[in-house]
Amino acid sequence: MRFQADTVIGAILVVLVTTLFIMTIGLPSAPYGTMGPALFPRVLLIALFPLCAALFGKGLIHDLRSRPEPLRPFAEWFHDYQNVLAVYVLFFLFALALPWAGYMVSGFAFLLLAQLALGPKGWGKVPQFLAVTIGVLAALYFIFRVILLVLLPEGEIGLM
Amino acid sequence: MVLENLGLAFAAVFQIKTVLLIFAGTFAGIVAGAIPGFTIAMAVILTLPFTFGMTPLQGSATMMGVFVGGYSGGLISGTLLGIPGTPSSVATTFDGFPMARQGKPGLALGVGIWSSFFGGLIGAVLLVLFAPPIALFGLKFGPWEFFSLIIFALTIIASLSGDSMLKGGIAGLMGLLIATIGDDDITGISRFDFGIDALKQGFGFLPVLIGLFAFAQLMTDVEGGEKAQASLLDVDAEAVKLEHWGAIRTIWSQPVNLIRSALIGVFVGALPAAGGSISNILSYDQAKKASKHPEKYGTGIPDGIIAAEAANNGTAGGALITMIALGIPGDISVAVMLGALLIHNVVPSPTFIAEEPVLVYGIFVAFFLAHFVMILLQAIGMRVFLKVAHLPKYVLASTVLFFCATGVFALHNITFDIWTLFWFGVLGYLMKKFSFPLAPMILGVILGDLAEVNLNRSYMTDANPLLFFTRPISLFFVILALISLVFPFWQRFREQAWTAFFLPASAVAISIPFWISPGVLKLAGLAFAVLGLFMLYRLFRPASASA
Repeated sequence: MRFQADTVIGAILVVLVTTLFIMTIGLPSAPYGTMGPALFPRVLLIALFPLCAALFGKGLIHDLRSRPEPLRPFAEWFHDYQNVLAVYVLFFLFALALPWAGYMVSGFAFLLLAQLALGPKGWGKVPQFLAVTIGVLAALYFIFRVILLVLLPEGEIGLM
Repeated sequence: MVLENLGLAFAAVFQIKTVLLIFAGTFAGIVAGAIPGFTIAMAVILTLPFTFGMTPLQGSATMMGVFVGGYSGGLISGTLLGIPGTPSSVATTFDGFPMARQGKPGLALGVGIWSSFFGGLIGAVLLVLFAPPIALFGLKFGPWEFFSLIIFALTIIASLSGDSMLKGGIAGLMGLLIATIGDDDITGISRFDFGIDALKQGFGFLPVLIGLFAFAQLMTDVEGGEKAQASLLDVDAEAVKLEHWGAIRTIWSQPVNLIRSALIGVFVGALPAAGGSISNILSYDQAKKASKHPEKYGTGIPDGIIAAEAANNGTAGGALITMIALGIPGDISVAVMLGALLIHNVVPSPTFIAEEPVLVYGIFVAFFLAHFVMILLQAIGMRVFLKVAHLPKYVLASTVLFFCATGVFALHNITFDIWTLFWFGVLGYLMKKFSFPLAPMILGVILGDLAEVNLNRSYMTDANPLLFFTRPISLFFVILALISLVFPFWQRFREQAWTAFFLPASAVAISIPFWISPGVLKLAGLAFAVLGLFMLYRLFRPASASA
């Protein structure tokens, strides 16, 4: 039997809410005269539980009553979401590299690679991608570092 | 006396240097407001050091420009890119972006800008006329009233969730829960940090807002192989002109919407610590509820833009009321302005207006003038933004994402904010794909801390929970919250018998807090009660009586 998204999400949320509620048991009790750190989260989690359970139940009833939709071929799915995956991976790598490579290097890599991944294929557009990358980096560096005096990460390389 | 002070103030403000400073401040504010993550407060903070060498009036005038420009700048990226530049422009994207996508970006921007202008002017007039009495009312709010107001604002989540109130409720409560992550504001005890040091500080709501909105919108723009190579707006930028007269006609055809929204903005702005992030959504919701075609909201109609933008610029005027009249900032940006005045040995207080009339009215005049400067700069600079929107989506996606990352990093100079942006970007995209509304979660994250702090303060002051129902203003907001929760069901099930009692019951319920209020407010209670009973009478009167 295959479950639709609402059923799966509802189940995950029920588990999450329950887990978080159990975590609040470990919080220290309230100092005199205050509510304590556990009360407000518990109120929220108690309100959330029935809603998440309702989402799970609604999805489950729908799954039991209806025929499952055919699965999409992986190639078709990947074609639709390859750009999204590429951007997320590149941004993840950008954030990971930032403390080490610094703002300029990691930013240069992100901007260039994102355009290469999303833009038209072929070497003809590479000069445009480079121009945009350098222009955006220069503009942001000028605005934030020179005018606004915001310290941007230099990284281990120390290239700024 | 007022006219004499206004005359002196006009003479003081309309000096070349002061006017140029207002231009510079307004321009900076528009740019700051348009950049997701930059925020008006940050622009005002960065302006502060430049004011040390100015007179108090020049410094205040510059900050007025940043303030006004920032509130209107958020609509640009919100309308063209679907990414609100500031939290006070969240509701503008609901209709501004769809309208732009329908090939009417010029009208969408025009309606937004002129709504900001008129809303701001209404706020400026009310600022001058009603600063003292409005500020006194706002001072009566204790933590019970603040908590009840927040609950009321959060029940609007139900109204904004469209067809899926269940998912909207889950998103809103999850937003509140996210706000509890990290150190508790009262006890300092860390919650839900999973042993990770970085989580002890919790999530900043700006990286969360931008992650949920910006990432989600940009990713939906680039999904699908060739979609990323199309222009964001597939129209000739030169042909997209700000439709000033069309916008003004549209706005003037809805005077009730405009004035109500501006008044909501002024009222919310006058409340200490409340601001544009609440007023634009509250106003949008009220406009939707009052509309004859609420189902059209969110599809790209001007009504929603008018409601949001008139409110957020009206908020600017309201926020200044409590600052000038009582020395209590109504907004983070206004708190910085207060600091600027203190540096110049000027102390806003109840006697401020009497002791420094030219300065106070000069601030009013600068605030008023900044709106005209805003209109002029928006009209001149708009083509630049339209040309930006003509770029291919893959260029915009990569550069805007990078700009957002830089903007959120600049808030606190920590890479944790960039990670917050990333993870909430993933969550926001998944929420969009699985039909979970984003706005309730955003609202929950923004208001979560405020709700818990005020609940705690109410408990610490007096542990009696009945105070939420016996204090008139708190009870008023509680009743409004209940009405707001039931209202969507009333709209959906109009054919059922119980819905006929909803409006009369609401009127009678609203009369109760007025009844328990002192003085002339009891008359308002009487009026609401009579209205409700009259509605009930009309329901039950014999058919022959109506013939």
